[in-house]
Amino acid sequence: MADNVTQAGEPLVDRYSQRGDRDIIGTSVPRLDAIAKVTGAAKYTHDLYPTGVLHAVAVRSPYASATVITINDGVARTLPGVVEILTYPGKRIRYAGEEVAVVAAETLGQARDGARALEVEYEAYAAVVNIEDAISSGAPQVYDTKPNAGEPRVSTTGDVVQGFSQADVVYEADYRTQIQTHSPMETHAAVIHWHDFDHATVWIATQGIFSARDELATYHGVPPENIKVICDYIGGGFGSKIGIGTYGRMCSDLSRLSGRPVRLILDRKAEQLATGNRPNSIQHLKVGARSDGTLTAIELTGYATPGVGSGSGFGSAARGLYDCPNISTTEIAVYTNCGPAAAMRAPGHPQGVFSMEAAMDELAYELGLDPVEIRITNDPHKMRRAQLRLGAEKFGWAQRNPVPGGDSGPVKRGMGVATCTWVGGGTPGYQVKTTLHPDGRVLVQTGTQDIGTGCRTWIGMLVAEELGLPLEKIQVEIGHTDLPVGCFAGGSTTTPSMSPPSRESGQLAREALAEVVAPVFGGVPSQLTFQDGLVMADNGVSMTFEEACSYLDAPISLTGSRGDIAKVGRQISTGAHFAEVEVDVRTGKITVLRVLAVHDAGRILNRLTAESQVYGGVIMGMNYALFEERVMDVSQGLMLNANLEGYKIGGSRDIPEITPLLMDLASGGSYVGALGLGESPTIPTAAAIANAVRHAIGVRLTEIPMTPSRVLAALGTINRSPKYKMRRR
Amino acid sequence: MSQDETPSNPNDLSRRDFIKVGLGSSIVAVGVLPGCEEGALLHEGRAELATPLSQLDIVLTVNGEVVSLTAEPRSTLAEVLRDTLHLTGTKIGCDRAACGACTVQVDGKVMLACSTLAVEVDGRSVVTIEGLSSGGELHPLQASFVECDALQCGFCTPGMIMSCKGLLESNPAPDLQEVKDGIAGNLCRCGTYPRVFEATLQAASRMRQRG
Repeated sequence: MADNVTQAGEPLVDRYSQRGDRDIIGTSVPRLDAIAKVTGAAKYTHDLYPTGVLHAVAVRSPYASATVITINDGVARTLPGVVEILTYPGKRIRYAGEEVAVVAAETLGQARDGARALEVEYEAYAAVVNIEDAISSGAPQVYDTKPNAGEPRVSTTGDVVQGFSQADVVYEADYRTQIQTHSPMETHAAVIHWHDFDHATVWIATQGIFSARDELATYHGVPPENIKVICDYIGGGFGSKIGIGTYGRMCSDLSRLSGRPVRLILDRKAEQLATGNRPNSIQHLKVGARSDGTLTAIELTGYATPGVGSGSGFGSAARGLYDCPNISTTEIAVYTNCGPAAAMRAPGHPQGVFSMEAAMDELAYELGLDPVEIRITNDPHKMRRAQLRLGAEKFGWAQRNPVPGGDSGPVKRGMGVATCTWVGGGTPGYQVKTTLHPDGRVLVQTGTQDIGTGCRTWIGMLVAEELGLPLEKIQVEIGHTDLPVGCFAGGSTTTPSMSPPSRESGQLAREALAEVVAPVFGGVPSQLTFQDGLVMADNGVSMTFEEACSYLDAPISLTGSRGDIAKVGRQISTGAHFAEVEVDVRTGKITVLRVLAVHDAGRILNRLTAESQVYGGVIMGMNYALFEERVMDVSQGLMLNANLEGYKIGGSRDIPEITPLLMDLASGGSYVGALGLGESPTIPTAAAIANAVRHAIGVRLTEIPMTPSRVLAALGTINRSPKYKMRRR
Repeated sequence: MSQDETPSNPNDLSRRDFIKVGLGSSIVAVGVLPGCEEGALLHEGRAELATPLSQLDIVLTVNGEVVSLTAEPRSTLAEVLRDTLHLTGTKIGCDRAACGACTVQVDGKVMLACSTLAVEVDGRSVVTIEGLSSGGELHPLQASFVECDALQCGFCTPGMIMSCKGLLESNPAPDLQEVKDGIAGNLCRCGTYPRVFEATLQAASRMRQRG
């Protein structure tokens, strides 16, 4: 088991709460919003119909590269119910799905009619929708002012030439990963009401109400405090629901024009085309190691396309997954006439871990080392070394067939392992307000987002812990810009950022109430204990929490803002996944049997929701390994599977046995000790599954998703020249 | 110009004027839209296709209550439930029968509201997620979903629960595989499946015990 030390090397003393133990933190508690969600009472942005609301439908270019020459809205404007139309003649279109106009009408059907009635004239151009075409000489340029292939982004540590010369084995190969779309179940949506030209109420499916507000304020030249942004419930985001987007600006403009609230809900096709994606990658990775498995050099080069957008790096795993003195990464971003990328759950990491962990395994096979051991040899993180040992033991790693592809029969089993790192420490600067009322009510407020993570619940739990109350006594309000500034829900920052101020607000509230009632006990505030709904003095005299509150003349509010996480510096959360698969070599079908996901998220606040987060990440990683892939028609420049039946996301029948194993040490640096968990659980899964497949069938797939046809193709190459080079000194 | 040698190229090369090249090659490549020339003007949208549609009277029972409303023939049940009746528990995730978020029951049968016309349910009985908890008491499935944390963002949850309800009504004692099959039409992006299985099996057991 791991040594009980924090990342800073200090002994892990449980510094929690005044009693030194915890009643509610760390237990499994159903979500505060669970009943609202299971009864259909929870209102998402899709569900809001302010009085007089107009329905807006966007018109999107069917061409990947074009200019909008004219838009004739003459007939559209005469249709019943059509109230406002915005058109963008002259707009340069760079991907199919980009907006050219929007229509607002009294009903959704009328808005669709209006959209259909717009006559749009385009001048179409040649387009490029994949990297190879985009970088070839003479290719149409996505942008007029810059070439498709960007300047290489180079990062160097040490000297890789030297490093490779020191290696006893060098493994190099090509890898490809696909475009993955976020595909939240709730599409992007905005409901915006400008009450006059200076004040608005905005409901938007967003992971960050404050940044959405500020962006809209800047767009319209209005002070941010004049705009209220509300997002109480959101149907998933995974990184795509950031900012207001073109849809938000269009919706806002329509409201200002019409003087009415407007709702703009994207359909699933628009969601697939225009709201973001995880870029793909074409990688060439060369890794050298000594015969004891110690890495001596890593050299990664490659391309990725963020479509018309930006943010397509994939080199972080090469640079930081394991210790290596000589590393060189060269990443080239390539524009294509496709929908823009958006940060997607651990941006850059699943792509890079896929290739790095493939190389680690191949080096292990070549050197006759255990794949778990070679990773431990190169792992600078004490916590992750412990995870690998613990995971290997729990998974039954020792029962693995020592011969890859060694199972007899057409259905072959294999086991694989892969690891991850992610930044886990959060950021300071957020506030949580706890208000105690004379009637005993406790209200906790902060403007953060619960995108399915369950933060609404553990924010309440942290305050409940300090006040010695059951969670039912705590009311939590989030998702409104009138509330104290809370964390944007992304980057796995919500838990580490919001837990210290939440705990502090409860602590300050307790101390303030203790000040008020201590005289009643005839004692000193610090001698009062809050537990099991009671306030108790040393001599055993007690009163209920509600009685204590009755001594308040008026509600009291205490704001927690504890920012000690800044002092600890950058904190890493680590994880390791073990996967077992079955591959039917006749059909190429891969079945994932089980995944053990070991993670360090520091102190676990709500065990129930933390485990759910791990299930979710593993399933998304499995999807990335096996099913999801944006398919582009290169001749038309169109996404062929801009829906949920052709863009394949695993369903109930695809789910393996998943075991979350949370280390549950208060390893985070704050006085709560929690780290983030939103992204780590999805990083190593695909790599672990790919390594398990390699073990099962004896040959490696270097491209994901590992569809049956790719598996069969890989099996067919056993007797042909392999697409890798292994050089032995 | 030479032919592309990649054996797995799925594209129809004879219609293309450009060559798919491997990394590092430098052959002239120009993408074009088949059937037209570079810079052609293309027209989208036909005004004459837009014809206003009349409204029809529909009377149906929703969660036990008789409701009269008017709807266009093309309106889906999902649109009417949400936009007209403001029963927004039923969600639209894809609007084309691929995700299950809009699952409801019509005369007891599990159906996808996005792909059912409102006029089809005239005279029939519809049950939505809002109809499951009666008198403030949760349906056993809802209670189990809460206890087992079979939900995260919650957007797929109403449809998921309705599918589970339909499953248990036709098969009160499903095994794990039957539960998986029963909700194979419900997509969840957050990854709640393992706990949906657990919650459904738990609810089934409790419902059998209640008799």
